Amino acid sequence: MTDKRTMTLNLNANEMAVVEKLADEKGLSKTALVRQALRLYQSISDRIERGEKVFVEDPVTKDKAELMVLS
Amino acid sequence: MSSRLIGTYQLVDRQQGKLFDLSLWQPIADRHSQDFEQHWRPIFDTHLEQINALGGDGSAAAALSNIQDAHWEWAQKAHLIKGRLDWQSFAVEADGMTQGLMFVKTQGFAREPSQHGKPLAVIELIATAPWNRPTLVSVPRFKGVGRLLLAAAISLSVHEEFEGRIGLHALPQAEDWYREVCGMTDLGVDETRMRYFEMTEAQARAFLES
Repeated sequence: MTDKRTMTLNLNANEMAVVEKLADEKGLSKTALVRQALRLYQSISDRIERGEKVFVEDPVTKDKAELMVLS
Repeated sequence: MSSRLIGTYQLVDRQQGKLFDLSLWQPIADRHSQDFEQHWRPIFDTHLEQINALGGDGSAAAALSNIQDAHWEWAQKAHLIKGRLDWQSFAVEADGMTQGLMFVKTQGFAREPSQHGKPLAVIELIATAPWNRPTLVSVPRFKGVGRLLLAAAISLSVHEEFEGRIGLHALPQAEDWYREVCGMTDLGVDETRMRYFEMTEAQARAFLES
């Protein structure tokens, strides 16, 4: 993947704080973190577009909550 | 996106007793999926027919013959992930023929305690051609196709800033290889009813240096 484009990302202070915290926790640069977030968003959007539902499950109670994505 | 050549690597051709150049491609192209359908699958089907003709437990016999992946639909999978940012695929070629195939998802989270929650690359499907498998032919041709693909997954992980971390669910016949040869951590059988293995940054470095 050598074909790269550059963009400026405008975030407020809270958003930037989350980016910095997650990047630090995951051991990623901010660029890599945003790329991961984009992949996740595309993955979920694709599934919902195909008519699938995306859930998160509590490991103990097994309660499921549907993941909502803006469409 | 068209398939591009990542590099050329020398592996032992056991039938000719010499080193042979194999090329690594990303992503899997139509020709690779076609090789599976036209050249790999007929061999798998022949073995499955022989197993069925003998009667007994077909799935156990298939496991012993190392063909539990015979039903994998590589072309369908390649079509499904087209345009997806979280999937990468690789193919190994030699002599104008596909020798190995792999799908990797770059959207996993590690489970091993020392790296829990960190991102990692997950090998979803990995396979070598039937003529490279000791359980199917008396003299398998290329030695090291699986190792080459595993190294490609580790390189992808490094490229994505995952420090070489990878994870995978192993088919039963491959469990020893991942544990003993690759040095991956065995995290036991999970909800998929398959054994899950993970490679840490240190294990990845050791694997690449071995």
